[in-house]
Amino acid sequence: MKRNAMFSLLFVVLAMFLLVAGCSSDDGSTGGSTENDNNTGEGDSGEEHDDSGLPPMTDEEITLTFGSWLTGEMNTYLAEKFMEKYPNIKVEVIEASGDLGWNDFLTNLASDGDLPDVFWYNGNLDVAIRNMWLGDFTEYFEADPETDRLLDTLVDVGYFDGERKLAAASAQFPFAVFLDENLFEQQNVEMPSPDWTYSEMLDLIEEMTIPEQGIYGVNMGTNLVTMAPIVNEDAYGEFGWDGERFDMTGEWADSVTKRAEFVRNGNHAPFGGTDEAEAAFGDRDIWAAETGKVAIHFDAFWTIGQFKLDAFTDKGINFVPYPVPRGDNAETLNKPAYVDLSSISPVTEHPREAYELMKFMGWGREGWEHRLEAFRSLTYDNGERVFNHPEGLPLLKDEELWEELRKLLPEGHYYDDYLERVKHPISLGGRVLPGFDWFLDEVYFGGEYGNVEDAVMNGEVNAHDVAGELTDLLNSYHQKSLDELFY
Amino acid sequence: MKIKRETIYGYVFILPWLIGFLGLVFYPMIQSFYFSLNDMRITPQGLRFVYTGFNNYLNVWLQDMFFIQELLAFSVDTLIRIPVIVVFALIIAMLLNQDVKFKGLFRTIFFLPVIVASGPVINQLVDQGATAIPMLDQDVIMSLLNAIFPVWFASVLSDLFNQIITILWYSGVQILLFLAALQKIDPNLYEAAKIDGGSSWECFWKITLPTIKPLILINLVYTLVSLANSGQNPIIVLIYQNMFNATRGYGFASAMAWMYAIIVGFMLLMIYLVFREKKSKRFS
Repeated sequence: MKRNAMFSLLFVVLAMFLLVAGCSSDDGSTGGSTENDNNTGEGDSGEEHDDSGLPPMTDEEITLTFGSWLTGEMNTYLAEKFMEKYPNIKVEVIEASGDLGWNDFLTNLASDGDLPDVFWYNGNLDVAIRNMWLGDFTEYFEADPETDRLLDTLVDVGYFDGERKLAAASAQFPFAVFLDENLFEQQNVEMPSPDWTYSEMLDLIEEMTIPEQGIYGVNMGTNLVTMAPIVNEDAYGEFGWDGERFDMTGEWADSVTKRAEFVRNGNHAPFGGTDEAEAAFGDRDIWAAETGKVAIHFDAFWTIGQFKLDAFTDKGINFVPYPVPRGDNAETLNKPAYVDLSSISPVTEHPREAYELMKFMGWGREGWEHRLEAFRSLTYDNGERVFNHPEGLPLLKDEELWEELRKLLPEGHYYDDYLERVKHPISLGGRVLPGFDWFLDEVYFGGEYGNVEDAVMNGEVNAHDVAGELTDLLNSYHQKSLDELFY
Repeated sequence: MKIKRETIYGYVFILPWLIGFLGLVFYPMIQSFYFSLNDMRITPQGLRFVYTGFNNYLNVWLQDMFFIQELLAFSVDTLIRIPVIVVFALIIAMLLNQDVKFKGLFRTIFFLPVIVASGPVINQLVDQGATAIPMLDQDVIMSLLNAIFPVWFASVLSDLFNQIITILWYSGVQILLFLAALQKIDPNLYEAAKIDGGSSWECFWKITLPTIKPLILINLVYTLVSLANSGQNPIIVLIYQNMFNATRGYGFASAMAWMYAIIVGFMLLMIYLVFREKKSKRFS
């Protein structure tokens, strides 16, 4: 009995030892994030400037960390090219692990004091603002001659408080409106001009809705409500953002009402997963765009390649891209786009070099030349191509880059016309407008009316009646979020 | 006072659990309570706290409409699931307590899901529809339920059918506990009852049920706690989402977790008050 007790005790001690060993940290750090130095980003910002107007890069051996959610192979490829140019700088690419969202992943890195020197943030800007992740690189951005060659609508992006450059556009995927050329031909409806207007598009949606043949005028992968204020009101953001304030009383209210009408009147294809989809297509989960029953499909640049796959062409679907139409009385050619943004850590020890890396991995010409090469030739170990379609469009005006990119798209004038007309990208709200996603969470999708767009669609709310109230709320959320910048 | 050797052995045996509890439960609890009283930022320079008192607790009720909604759904859901699980566990335990062949194998089979169906596995099974009974036509059941009950109750019942296998899979531990209690019942009691002309039905109500009553309370508590902590519980998902929410963060999420814990605690208290062992007046 005594011996048994001794064995049991030994077992318990061994189990405890394994538990303690298993739970211990192996990085040797003692204080985690709280022990980081508070470097304000002025460390390497020397007073000397090279010919370009930027301070010279360091000659010391340094390491920079970089994190973005784009294709890992591309990140690694570009990092290698950067290291070839600056052999004294080692770039470590950080890839998200597990099934965490990118911003959640960044949050975990930040809580360990490991926020990358250069990083992209995904979608919600408020996460980055609230947690003070955004470094100030105004000095470098404004001294950089390449800044002058940025697409006009991207230059001011990231000046959230109007003074400091805290984030920069690093990828753009403009919205695209796809028209099924075969379906138009079948119905003897002429394809519109690439300079079509917003009201022409709405008319076409109605004209191409042919219930007796089961054809739907439109399927909105991206939203009319996003497009309308930007193209019709020359807005610089969603929900009527004019650069200082939001205004939802005009185009937002009209477009959300129009969208609801389209859905109610059967111009819009049934939503996936519904009984209506099952009745219309015989498959409740099928993507409406691949049924051959949709004349106009709203989406973005990234779908161009997908629509050239056999899965579509074999069904006789021939979606060709159109730019989002211009506003009937618009003065600008602003079009909505998915614009991804990057920043540098406010505690990076090498802000000058971090800025250079951010530009190289984002909008910079040199990085883009390598990027184009990667689109053309990068392969996996098994020889399969990594890219069948370019991952984004250039952010600079440089014609050579656009011409090279054009060669990577399918043949046909539609693609020329599209590329010609997407050079005034306007970013979606939450990425560049503080407080926007906060408003979406607490008011637009989860407030008094539930989901406002659904409430309008179901006839529970009149958009024009609530637009004033929503505008005030949105502006107050924006202001509250701006106040956090100075927290 | 001399401490008994057995007492020391006892403490040594529970020491790993104690260390685990202090390090992995008690400390995070204190930490989360501290978070809940603060507005917390995860900056590159480290964690920053601004004391906000009980504002986060207030905001849980005033700002998050989904919390109240999910809480109500959870309460109704739990009210239906707990009896289903406990009654099922009791039936299976009584069957396994019979003198049948391969008894050990059956016991293993019923307990196996407890080990296999950990969080990610069960989530995959639910996603792939493996937890519903395929031969049941969900649409027919739903339309039937809708015709009889109000929508909010019908949807809870339909959810119950949809996840019936998962629910039954949650019964492994409860079966084991009931089985242990059933094996402790003196067979002479049944024998005596039979001699006096008691039927099996009467034996169940007069002997089995009163004897295992304390275990029913334990099983009810266990079931409620396991449902409340389940990764499939939408409130747990909501707390997680708030944790990474830009404007709410850890402070708000911690306050929500504490509010939820208090509500679950209150439900446990209710169960205890209803099912606790009451002293018989006759012997008092």
